[in-house]
Amino acid sequence: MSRYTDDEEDRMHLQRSVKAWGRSGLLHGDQASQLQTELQVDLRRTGIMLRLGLALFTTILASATVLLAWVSLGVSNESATGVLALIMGGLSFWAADALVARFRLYRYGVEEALVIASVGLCGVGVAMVGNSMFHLHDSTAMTLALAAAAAASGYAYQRFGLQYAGVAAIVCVALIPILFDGPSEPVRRSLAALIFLAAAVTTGAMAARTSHEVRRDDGFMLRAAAVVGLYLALNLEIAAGPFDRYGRTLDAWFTWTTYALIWIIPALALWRGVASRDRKLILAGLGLAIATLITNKPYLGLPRQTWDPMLFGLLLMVVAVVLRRWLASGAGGERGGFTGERILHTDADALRLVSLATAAIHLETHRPAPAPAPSSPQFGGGRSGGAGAGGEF
Amino acid sequence: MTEYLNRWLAAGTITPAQHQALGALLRRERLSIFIELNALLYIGVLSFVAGLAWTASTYSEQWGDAAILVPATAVVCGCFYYCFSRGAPFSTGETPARALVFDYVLYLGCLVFGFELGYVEYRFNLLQGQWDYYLLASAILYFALAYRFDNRFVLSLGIGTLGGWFGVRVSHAAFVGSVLRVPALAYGTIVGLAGTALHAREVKRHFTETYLHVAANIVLATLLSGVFDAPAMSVWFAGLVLASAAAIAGGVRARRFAFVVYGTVYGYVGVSRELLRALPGVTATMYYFVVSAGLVILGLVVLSQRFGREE
Repeated sequence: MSRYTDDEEDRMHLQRSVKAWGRSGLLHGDQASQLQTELQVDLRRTGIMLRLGLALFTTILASATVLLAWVSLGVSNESATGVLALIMGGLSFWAADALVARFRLYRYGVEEALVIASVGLCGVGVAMVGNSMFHLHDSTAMTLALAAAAAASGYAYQRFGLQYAGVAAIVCVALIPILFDGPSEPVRRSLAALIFLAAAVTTGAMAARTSHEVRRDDGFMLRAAAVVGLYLALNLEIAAGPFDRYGRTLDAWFTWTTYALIWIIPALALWRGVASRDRKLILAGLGLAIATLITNKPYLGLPRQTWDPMLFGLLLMVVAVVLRRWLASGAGGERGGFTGERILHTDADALRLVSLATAAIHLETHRPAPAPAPSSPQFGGGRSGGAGAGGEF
Repeated sequence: MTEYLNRWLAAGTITPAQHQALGALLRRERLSIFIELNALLYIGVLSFVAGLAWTASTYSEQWGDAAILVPATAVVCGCFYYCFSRGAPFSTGETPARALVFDYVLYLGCLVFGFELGYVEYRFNLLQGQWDYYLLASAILYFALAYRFDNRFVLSLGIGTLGGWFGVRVSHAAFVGSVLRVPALAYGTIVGLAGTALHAREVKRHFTETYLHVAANIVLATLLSGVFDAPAMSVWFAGLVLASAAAIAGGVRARRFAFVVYGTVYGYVGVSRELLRALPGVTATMYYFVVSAGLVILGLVVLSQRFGREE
């Protein structure tokens, strides 16, 4: 049972929308204020930066409390540590729940950090208790930890509606087959992919069925995350890490099947995203298509050329320009309701954040330059603000 | 949620035209892919310049300098020609770009220009020991272009390149480590003051936050590094406390809570560093974190309840 009613969440969602509409000129200032007043609920929320700050310090508080309990109680063996972790995880979740019930917190940072801490503690606790009782193999203990974390995350999603908790639950479940010792890499990858696929189908159906915008948005987010997970489970060039320890002897049929799938999945994601007007899935499809282009050559065993990034960059720019022009040439500058124009001011905010991140990137590249070598250029060591004037071209 | 829209229309709070426009957005009948197009262009520009640099570093010996410089110069000239021939007239206010690609064409031109400067200096060593003046000159050019064409990406490039110049100037000194702190403080202060001064003169006020975010992080991080390096409580600590307090007060006053968080986090780390020197044992340390983090949370909650919703 969720701590928030559908109407409360709808109102919170609408409040954000009204604010965005007001800033984008779709509502006048007095209209926006009037509607905001009408949409008031008794939930306490805060802005994104204070939310992050509160989450950070709550994490510090929770971690210090757990360590303090561990040190003060003189816990030394594995089973007692596991039990303590489980108790602290349970307390952490209870504290989050009580804070939401008592103070009506909504995406406030504090309760979110407590929920995240409880998920981690439950996972660790279950693994340690299981290991101490049954002397489990490492991978079995990890499987237990992931299962416990998935259960706690799933419950947190149900209880507080935190989208990332839902995503974490899906990821934890899908990672379990990857830890299996017996099956071959194709089997483990296929099992993980099947779990992601099932999650994508289920959450997509959830989004299609519901009449509440917030639930639909949740469904879209979970589906996009599951599709990304599905792709990562199948792309042999990106997600090779977890399988390296087993040595990689893959049959050609599996390699070629996954090669076909890493082209098919982004195309399907883009198609479904456009058809269901799901911007998150469109963005995921776009990202996956880029990942496929980047990993295409290693997949085929072809050597990378230095000009590949230039051609790739040109391709992206041409696609953007052609798409923009195609949309703009439609009636009213739109095609099927899609437009390349900015509608909401929140999009400009996103670009502002990117430009701030760009400043950080350019500052990061400062290093004193090495001595120039007239006959043979050695482009090691950046020295400018990232404009390419640095040494590491 | 369309029920709310219908209710507002019936009550006369919104007009039929607004009802139609907002309903289309809520029902996702009208969808913007503005961000997606911008993402493609941004990644495209960065990827192109990275490829150009990689190609130059690999093939310059084999192909010769002209094969690298002529096409790169053509790209720079083409980009700048496009921007100067199609750009809107200068305005001290915010000037929307005339086309989606406009900002990225200018950014591409500036990045390739920076690449060329670096290449020329490495190959021909024209300024010898004074090569860092390339950085200063290019930073000035980037600032001028950022203001001329109202381009945040180029502004960020200019701020970063200016930071590079400060760093490189100091690297001529014998001991780079702690010596960098004073120039870093000077850099952060200059960036902050420049942003504030331009804001006061109402020149591109929407750029101010970029200056202030960079300045706040540079100054606070520099002071914090001084606190960590000092063997005992030092002037760096006093500076950090003052700067953190200023960031928090300024953030609250301007309702920019990112600065409140910067001041709180950097200040907390610095104060913790000093206090933990005196605290004996793990238990006392954990007690310290429990109490101090609790107090900070309390402070942020109070702040959030009083002002945070306006963020």
